[in-house]
Amino acid sequence: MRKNVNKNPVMIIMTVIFMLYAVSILFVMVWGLNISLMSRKDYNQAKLFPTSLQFVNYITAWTELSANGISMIEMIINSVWYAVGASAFSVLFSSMTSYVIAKYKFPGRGFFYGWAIVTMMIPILGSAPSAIRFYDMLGIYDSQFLIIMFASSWGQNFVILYATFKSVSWEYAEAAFIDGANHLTVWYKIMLPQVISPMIALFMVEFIGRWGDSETALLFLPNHPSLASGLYIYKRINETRLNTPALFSGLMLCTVPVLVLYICFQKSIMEIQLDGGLKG
Amino acid sequence: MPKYMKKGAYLFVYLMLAISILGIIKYIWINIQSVIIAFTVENTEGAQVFTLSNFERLFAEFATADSGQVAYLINTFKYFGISVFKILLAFVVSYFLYKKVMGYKFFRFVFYLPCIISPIVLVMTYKDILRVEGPLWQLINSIFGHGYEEIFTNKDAATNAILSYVLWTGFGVALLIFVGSMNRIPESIIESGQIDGAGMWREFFSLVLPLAWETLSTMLLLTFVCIFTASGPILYFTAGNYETSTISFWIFNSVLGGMYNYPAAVGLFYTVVAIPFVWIVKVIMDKFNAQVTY
Repeated sequence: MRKNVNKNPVMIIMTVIFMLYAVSILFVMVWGLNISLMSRKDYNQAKLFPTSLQFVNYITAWTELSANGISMIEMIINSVWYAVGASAFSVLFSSMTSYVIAKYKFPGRGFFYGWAIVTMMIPILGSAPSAIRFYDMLGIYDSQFLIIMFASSWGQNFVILYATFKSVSWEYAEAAFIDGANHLTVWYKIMLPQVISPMIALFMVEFIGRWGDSETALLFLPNHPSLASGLYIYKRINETRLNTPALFSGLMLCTVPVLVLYICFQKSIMEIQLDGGLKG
Repeated sequence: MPKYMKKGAYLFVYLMLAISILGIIKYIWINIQSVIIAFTVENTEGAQVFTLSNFERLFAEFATADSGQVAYLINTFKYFGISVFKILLAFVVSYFLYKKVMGYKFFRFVFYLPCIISPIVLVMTYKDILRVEGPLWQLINSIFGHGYEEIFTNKDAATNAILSYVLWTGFGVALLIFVGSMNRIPESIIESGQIDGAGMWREFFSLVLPLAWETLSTMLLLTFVCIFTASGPILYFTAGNYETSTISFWIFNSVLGGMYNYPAAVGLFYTVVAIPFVWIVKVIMDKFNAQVTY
């Protein structure tokens, strides 16, 4: 039935509109790549395309781009540490929290579920100063250990995983209990494998977001810049004598890991669902 | 719960929740401290003393039409409007992807790309395309014989250009969630509608919209939660110059510059204003909920 709809004039018009939009997105990517392969002279002369492809810019980016004395390699290490660590903590603890709230009845269950929903709907502004003081008090401000503070079990990840666990049958767990399995075994051997796909998808979405996030690093990790915050600092410091093609080479390098992950895990990412809405 | 499952259940549950409980304590501690910071200032001896002056300063700014805070609020509402529009647009776009418009897999892949690429990469490239003597400028110059003035240093154009960027960067996770929600609609319902002669628009408004309303209302509600935090990648575009700041960016920039008390007070004020607003929106959304299960 649906295949016939494709011949509908509305669908054809939408295809054209979608194509134009897709081209605009791809053009920006290609333009960034184009600049990264220009010589400084070509760029300063406002040439649209490089006279000759300057792959050397990618080597220059490794040696020239730095922020507050932190090299590009160190920025990449900081980015990997921050993006992988924070995302893994966040998704793992969200899965633990959502699992027990979805599948167990215990005193305080209503409070925890209510907490998850209510805090999602309280738009907190201006808590960064107290967060800085809190992290400073714990001795983790501007430290790699800050990622433990991102072990948040609430928010969007909780809602999605809670709905996922709700939809998972409890029968396998009951059978395992009868066979003598304990709660921990049931969780990681029976239940967790059944939600691994949405967990990977949520990890990817969070990783991608954190990889590109520079504001958190600027506020809380000033001496451990990530790739995104480091490139911003480099640009700001060198505004007047900026090597734009080298900067764009750095930006393109910054893009490669997330693009590869997106291509590899696009099927999982595309299957994210927010079933059930928010029932407060 | 059967007896064999009760053994050690509570211990397991509370151990699983241990980190979440610490997260709750952190959340409460940070926000209580935030309130305290909002009601204090640092005196000449470096001690924090209680005061209402942060709020007096805020209300004094509100009383001045051309003050910074008024400009930030206006800009924030512009970003909020764009956010709501993007959610609605994402729903419509999702419908066509769900209906498998030609090349829908390719479009779904490409439309999510702006969420994948770091904002600094997209912004820098977008700015370069729009810069004086950039490709767009050269194209316009070749057609009309003259280009345009620098956009991001012009206070009359900068915010609109950033808003255009925010709109252009698309639909984010909302697109994936909407398509997922529509794919869950039983095929038999859609086929019944088509047998009854429902055209595409009828199908969209009478079947898909009510059946996916719960997801749409959730996404709209989450957007309304951000009414005072709505913003864009202002840091990379203008760093808040040329009258482009929003409330949340101004708070971020002030904290980055070492100012704590006044931004905390401004944040607290908007949080207090937003809470009843969000709950009213939630009640309204729930009233429109079709309560459909499938």
